[in-house]
Order: sequence, then C-alpha cells, then structure tokens
Amino acid sequence: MQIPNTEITVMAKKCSRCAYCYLICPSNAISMYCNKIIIDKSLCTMCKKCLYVCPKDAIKISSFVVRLNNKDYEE
Amino acid sequence: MKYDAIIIGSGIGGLLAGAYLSKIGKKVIVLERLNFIGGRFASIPYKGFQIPTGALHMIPYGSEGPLGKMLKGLGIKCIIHNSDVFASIHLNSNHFIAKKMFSMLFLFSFWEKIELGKLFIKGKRTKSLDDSISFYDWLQKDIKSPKIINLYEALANFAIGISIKDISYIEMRKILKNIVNFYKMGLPGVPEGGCGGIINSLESFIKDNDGSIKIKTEVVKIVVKKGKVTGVIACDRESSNNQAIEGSIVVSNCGPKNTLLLAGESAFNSNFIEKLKKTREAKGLKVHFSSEKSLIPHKGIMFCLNTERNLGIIQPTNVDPKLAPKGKHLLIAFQVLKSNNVEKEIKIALNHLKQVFGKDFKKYCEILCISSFKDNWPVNWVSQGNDFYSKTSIDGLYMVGDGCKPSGYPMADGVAKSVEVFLNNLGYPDIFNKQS
Repeated sequence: MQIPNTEITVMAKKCSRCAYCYLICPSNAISMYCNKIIIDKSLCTMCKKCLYVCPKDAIKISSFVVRLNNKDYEE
Repeated sequence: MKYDAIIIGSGIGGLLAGAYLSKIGKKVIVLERLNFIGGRFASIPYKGFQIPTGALHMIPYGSEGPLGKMLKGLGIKCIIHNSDVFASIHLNSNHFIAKKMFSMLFLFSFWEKIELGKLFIKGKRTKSLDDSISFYDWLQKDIKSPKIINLYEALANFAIGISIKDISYIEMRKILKNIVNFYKMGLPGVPEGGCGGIINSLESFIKDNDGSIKIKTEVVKIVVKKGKVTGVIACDRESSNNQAIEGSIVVSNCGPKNTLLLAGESAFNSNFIEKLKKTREAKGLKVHFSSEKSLIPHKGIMFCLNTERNLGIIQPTNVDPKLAPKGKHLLIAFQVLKSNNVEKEIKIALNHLKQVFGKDFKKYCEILCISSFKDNWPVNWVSQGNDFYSKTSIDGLYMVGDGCKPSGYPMADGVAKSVEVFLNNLGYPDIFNKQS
C-alpha cells in the first residue's frame, strides 16, 4: 500500500534565525534552539504559514510516497 | 495590467512611497512576497505581545524626525512618544539617567570632562575629513578614556548596527549632530501601536486612495527595455502563476543586491556593480523578553556600557502598554552580531542580561524569542555611510529603503529620508510638507 505524504523542514544553511516562523506558527510546532529550528511533525497542521513568512525561503515542503509494507521512502 | 508605479516590497520605505504616490493620484500597486506587510517594520502577535519584526518599535529621531514628518504629511494620526530622558546608562551595576543633555556631565570624572572638552574643540575644527578615516581612528588619537569610547561605540551599535571602527568620521559626525540638535527633530520615539500601528495606517491610506497591495506575490524580474523600465514579472507564490505587470515607474524596496538580480547586471552601470561588491550589511541580534516587573523606568534606550557587546535595551510598554498582555512588560535588547556564530552571540546576550538585571532577570523575566538579522535579511542592507542613491542608471527605476539612507539619517528615519529623496528625484520636492 502506498500513501502520499508531505514533509516540512527548515534548511539550516539558508535560515538566518529571524524567528518569524516560530512567532507565526498557530500550533506551536516550531522550536528554536541556539543554532537550529525544528518543526515537530506531530504538531504541524501543514497550514504553510511558516513557508510564506520566511524571508530567506529556508522552509521547504517535500512530497514523497510512503510504502507501508516495507517502510521505504521515495522522493 | 498597467499601473503608474509598481513598488517591490512592502517595507516601511515601499509603503511610504506607495502612500505618497497614491496621494498625488498615481495608480499604485505594492507587491510583497511574504504573507504579511511591513517587512522589518511590522509586528507579529505572539502570546499577547506585539513582537517587532525588526525596528524595535522605535524611531531614531522621534515625532519630528523624517518619518514622523512624512506620516503627518499624509494626515496619518500616529502619536509618537519621544524619549523622556536624554541618556540612560547602565555602568558597573549602577543605572545613570540624564534627563537633560547637560546632566550627562555627572557621568564623567574630572579628567574625562577635560578629555570631552578637548574632543569638543577637536570636533569643531575637523569639519571635513577623508571618508576612509573611521570615527574610531579619529577618536582614539586623543581620547584615552574607555568610558567615552564605549559610549560612542554603544550609540553606533544600537543606532546603526555597526562599530565605530566601520563608520567614517564624517558620517558619524552628521548623525551625532542630528542627535545633539534634538530640539529641531526629537529624541528617539516609540509610536503608539508600535511598528504595526504605523504599517496598518499606511496600508489603509494606500487602499483608501485606490492603491492595491498584494501579498505572497514575488517579483521575479524587472523588465528593462532600451535602458528604460517597462514593468515587472510577478509570481503568485500559491499558484506559481507568472503575470506581467506594466508600469512606467518601478520602486525597489528590496535592497540594492536584489534589485541588481531582478533587473539583470547588463542594465546597470559598472559603478553600481563595483560598489555592490564592496558593500557590507549591518548585522544584529535581538532578544525579546517579558517581565512582570518594570525594569526600565523611562521611555528611552538604556545603554549597558560594561557589557562586551554594549547592549541597548528598551521597554516599549512604557509608551503603549497594549504591546504586552495586561500586567506584563515587553523588553527588547539589541546587540551587534560581531561573528557569524549565532549560538555564541546568543550566550553572550543572555549573560549580559543576567549581569544587567541580576536576580530580577531570573525572577520576573521570560524569553519570548531571539532573532538574528544577517546575510539576506540584515539590520541594514547597506551599512550606514556606504548607501546607494535612490535614482539608478535605469530610467524609471528607483530604490528606497535601508540600502539608500541619506547621510546622517539612520534606520527608519533613514528609510523615510530615502523616500523623500525619491520623491524629490521624481519632481515632487515639497509634497511631504503639504498636509492632506
């Protein structure tokens, strides 16, 4: 069985750590650490607000397919 | 679609330009790639606090400075409360407040007063100097007092986001002159409603004058034909659809570097490209924190001189309590980013705050968020004194914003002044003096 899935991540190299995504996230899914920003996938509702608030285009949404039988991931 | 003027970027510069152009009857469109307007002069609500996206809810020359005057010229009723103290200095766990300029003298010892006297005479004699001589080089030749040097360093760090080693004597002199002449303009001020309040007023003004503002719309190209600008190609970020927008004037509020990328190198003259290679941005770190107890008793900036990074701290809730939930204060500390190691800089900032506020920091304060500004989202696109001209070599293409701050005007007032220069170039020199 295959189900489509999407993942939202912060590209650390592009991020300037302005914290706009952290401030705007309505579900508090974004945590800020000294040197990185992490999005908690279990809390994220994919509202994409962080995607459009990022001045550095550092937030990426990638689509991939999850195969449930062998837990294999494909881009 | 055809417009009289297309504005790229909805920062304070873009919106001010848009507001004035719509005031004189031009058909204006403002294009913003993010999902909020105001750029680094907006507020984002967070847990009942209004967190500024950049400008610390503060205007360098207060209500009578360039931004205050331009808002008045639009008839925008925005009350800006100027600082009620001339200077506030935290030094060796003492907080010194000078209500008037004269009372600053109590901060200095006898020998330091003599050095200041010498400095004053030297300043009067040095009216012009080579641009390559930094303010620090000029200062340290005769001044030995670390307190005096640190005071200038703290002021430059907070007001322009760079060190006195990186600013020319001439530029710093112009800024200091404007500060000392504060009776003509004003001391730094905080607007009611913070940065967001001003942005909302400008948005309403543009929309009321038939202008339009589009968010999540990214300009991907400035179209130039035979040395003349004819419009832009804009991309709707949600649908990824490109659209051509025609306009005889394009105002870029997205920094000189991005302006070059959008219009293409071949369209610019070599001076612009050479200057851009040497350009450095101003970098900084902001700590936003809340306190249950008021920690700063005035509306001005508290400079912390014996900290490694000369932290400057403000408590904008002293002007507008609505910037924080009831019973809480919003405080913002700013320091220059002296390295790209943000982790290290954050640790330094937090140590400074503990050092300045002592036990109160642990007992009453909570960190809301820490933001750094560097690379392609800096404090200033171009560090003070190295700014570009508003008019470019391309006919109809102008720049406004913190990449073209006129000499002597830092931060938001520099941006407002760049819009004034742009309107001058366009042939409307006195438009901002006429009340609507």
